[in-house]
Amino acid sequence: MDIESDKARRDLMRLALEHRTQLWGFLMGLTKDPQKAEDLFQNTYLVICEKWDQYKPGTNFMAWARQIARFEFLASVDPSRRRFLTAEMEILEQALQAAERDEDAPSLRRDALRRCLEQLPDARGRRVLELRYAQGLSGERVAREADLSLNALYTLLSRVRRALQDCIERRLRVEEAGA
Amino acid sequence: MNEPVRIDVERYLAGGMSDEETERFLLSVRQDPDALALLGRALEDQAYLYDALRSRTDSDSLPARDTARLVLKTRRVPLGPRPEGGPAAGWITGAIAATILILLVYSSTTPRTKPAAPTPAPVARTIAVPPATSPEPVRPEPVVPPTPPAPKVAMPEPPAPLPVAPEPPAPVPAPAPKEKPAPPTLVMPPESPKKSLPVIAKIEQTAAGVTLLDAAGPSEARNALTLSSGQGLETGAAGGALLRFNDGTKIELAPNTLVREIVEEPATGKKILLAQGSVLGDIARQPTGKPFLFTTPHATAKVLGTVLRLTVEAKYTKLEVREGKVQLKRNSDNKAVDVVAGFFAIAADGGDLAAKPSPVDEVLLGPLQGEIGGNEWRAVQDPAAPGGVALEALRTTNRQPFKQTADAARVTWVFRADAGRDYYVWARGCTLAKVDPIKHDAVFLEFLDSKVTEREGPSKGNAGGGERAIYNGYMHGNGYWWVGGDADGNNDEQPVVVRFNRPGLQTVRLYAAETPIRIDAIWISATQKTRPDAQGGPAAERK
Repeated sequence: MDIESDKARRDLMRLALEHRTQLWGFLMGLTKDPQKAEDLFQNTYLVICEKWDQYKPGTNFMAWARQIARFEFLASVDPSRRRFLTAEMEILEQALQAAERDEDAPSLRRDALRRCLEQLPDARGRRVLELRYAQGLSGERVAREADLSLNALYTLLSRVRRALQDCIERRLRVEEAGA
Repeated sequence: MNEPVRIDVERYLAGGMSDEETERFLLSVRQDPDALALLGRALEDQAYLYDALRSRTDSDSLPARDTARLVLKTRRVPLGPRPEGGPAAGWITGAIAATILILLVYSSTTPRTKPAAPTPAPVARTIAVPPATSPEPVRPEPVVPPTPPAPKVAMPEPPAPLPVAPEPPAPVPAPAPKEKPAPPTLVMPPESPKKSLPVIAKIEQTAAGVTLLDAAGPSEARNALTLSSGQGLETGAAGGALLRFNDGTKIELAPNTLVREIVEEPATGKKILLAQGSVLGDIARQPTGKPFLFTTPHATAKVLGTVLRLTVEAKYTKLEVREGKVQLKRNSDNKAVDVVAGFFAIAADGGDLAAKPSPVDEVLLGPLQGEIGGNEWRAVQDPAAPGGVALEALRTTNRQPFKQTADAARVTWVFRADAGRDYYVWARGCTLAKVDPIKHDAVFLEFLDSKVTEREGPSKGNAGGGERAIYNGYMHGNGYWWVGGDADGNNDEQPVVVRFNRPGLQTVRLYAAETPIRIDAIWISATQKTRPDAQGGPAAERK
C-alpha cells in the first residue's frame, strides 16, 4: 500500500471515529434495540474498512456511511417490512440532518451531558434513564420496573430529556462565553 | 415545541408505536421542520445517553470481556434475537472506539483487492432474483439499489426524498465535512486574469455568451478560466456555466444568470452575490464560523454544506434544498427560516417566510421496490426489460371487471405524492403470450384514496371504476412499451389521470387481469402527458 493510500485510509478512519455517535444514533433510531444497533454498527464499520477505497475524500462521509448502514439494516430485517422501513429511514436521515449542530463539537456536547446527568435532580428520571439506556431495557420493561404506566413513562422521559437539553445548552453557552 | 410531540418522540424512540402510529408520527414530523430537528436531536442525544450511561456502568464491570468480544467481531456478525438488557449489553464508548481501532489495524493489514469502483454502491451484492424459468416465486432483495428501468435517462432525484423514491441515493457525495480535499495540485491557468490574487474557483464548463465581470471590464469567459475573489459572471440565453471551488464546491449557473461578485475572504468565508437567475449549488462542508453565503436582493442564504437551488426573480428569491440544511434570512425584516432537505422557502417583501415541502413531480416505481403479495406475481430477471428485472404474472384468478382475489395477489408500492394535482400514469410491460395475445395483455392499477379518470374506450370501467384503471393492449408493443390505459385502438394516447385526495404517502397496487404478462415500471408523472419512448423515464432533473 502506498503512502498516499495509507493516509487516505487513516483519514477515513478518523472520520469514522469522529462521527461514531451520529451513526450509532441513526442505527439505534432504526432498530430501537441497542444490541441490534451495536451489531449493525460494527458490521457497518467493517464494510467501511473493506470499501475504504470507494470513499471519495472531500465528500460527505456521513452520507456515505449512512448509506452503508442502510443496506446493513435492510439486509437484517424481514423482507416484508423493508418498504416501510425504507420510508422510515428517509425521515430519520432528514431529522438528523435538520438537527446538525455546527456550533459545538460532539465531544463538548458529550462532556456537557455527562455533567448534566450527574446534576439531574429528578431521582425518578435518573432511574428511568438508567433502566432505558444503561440497562438497555425496552419502554415496556422500563415502565414495569419503574412502576409507571407507559404514558407516564414517556411523559417523564420527555421532561427529563428537555431538562437535560436545557442544561447542556446552558453549559455550552457558558463554556463558549468563557472560551 | 409542544409537549405532545415531545412525548411522541419518546414513545417512538422507545419502540412504543405500531407501524401505523409510526407512519402517522413520522409524516407529521416531516411536515414540521422544528419537530424534525427535535427528533434528530433526540436521536443524537439518545446515542450520547447510551454512551455516557453505559460507559459509566462498564467501567465498573466488564471492560476486559468487551474488548475480547470486539476482537471476535472483526468478522461479520449475524443479527439474532438476544435477551433484553443485561450486563453483556453494557458498553458503548470504549467499544466503539476500540472497534474502530481494531478495524483500523484490520484494514491496514488487509490488502486492497481491487481498484476503486467508479460508482460506489457501498455494499455490492447480487440481486437474488431467479431466472425467469425458476418455478419459485421470489421477493426482491432491497439490499441492492433498485435498478431504474430506464437506463438511457438518468433517474430523477425526487424533489422530496420520502418513501420509496425509485432509486435510493447513491452513497456518493455530498458536501465535505470538516475534511478538506487534499490541496489540489493546482495547475495554474494559462490566463489567470489577476495573477496577483489567489485563485478561488475555476470554470469547468461554459457555453458561448458567458461573460467574466472584472474591474478591468467584461470579457469572454472560457473553460478552465480561473476566478479570483471579486470577479463575477453573467450567463446569456445560450447556456450556463459550471464553477468548481478549491474545496470541491460546485456551482452551476443557469442561463440568464447574473452573479455580480464571488468573494472569498479568509476571515469570513465564501460569498456569492446573485442578482438574477438561478444557481444550483453542491456546497462542500464549510469551516465552522465561515458559512457559504448567497446574497440576493431579497435574502441571504447561509449554507454550511448542502445541495440547493437558489432562484432570483424580480420580486422574490426561492430556495430549494436537496440535501442538508440552509438558513434563509429575509433582508426586509431579518426574519430567518431553516430549510431542510425536501423543503423550499420563498423570501419576498411581506408574506410568510416558511419552509414548505417541495412538490413531487415524478415518481418511478420499479419491480424491486414493490411488495409482492399472494402467489401470482414474482420478480424475474429479464434482459429484455430496460432495467433487467420485471414483475411477472403467469396466471391469475382475477376477472374483468375487477375481482379482489382471496389471497390479495398483487404488488404494492408506497410513495410520496401531492394531493389535488393531476398525475399521468404509465405502466411499462409486455405480454408473454404467443397465441391469441389480445386475451393475455392486461393489468389493473389501483390508487388508494384517489380519483382516477380513465379515457373513453371499450375497456373503460372494466377495472370497476373508482380508484382503479385497466391497463390493456400490451400486445401492440414490440416488447416492453409504455401503456397509459387502454391501448387497444390507441385509446391511451391520453393516459389515465390520478388525483390523490390527501398529501404525503400514497399507495398503488398492481393486479393481474390477463396473463401471462410482465410489468417492469410504473411512472406517475405530473408532466408526461404523451406516451414516452419505450426506454424513457423521468428526465434527469437536477435543474
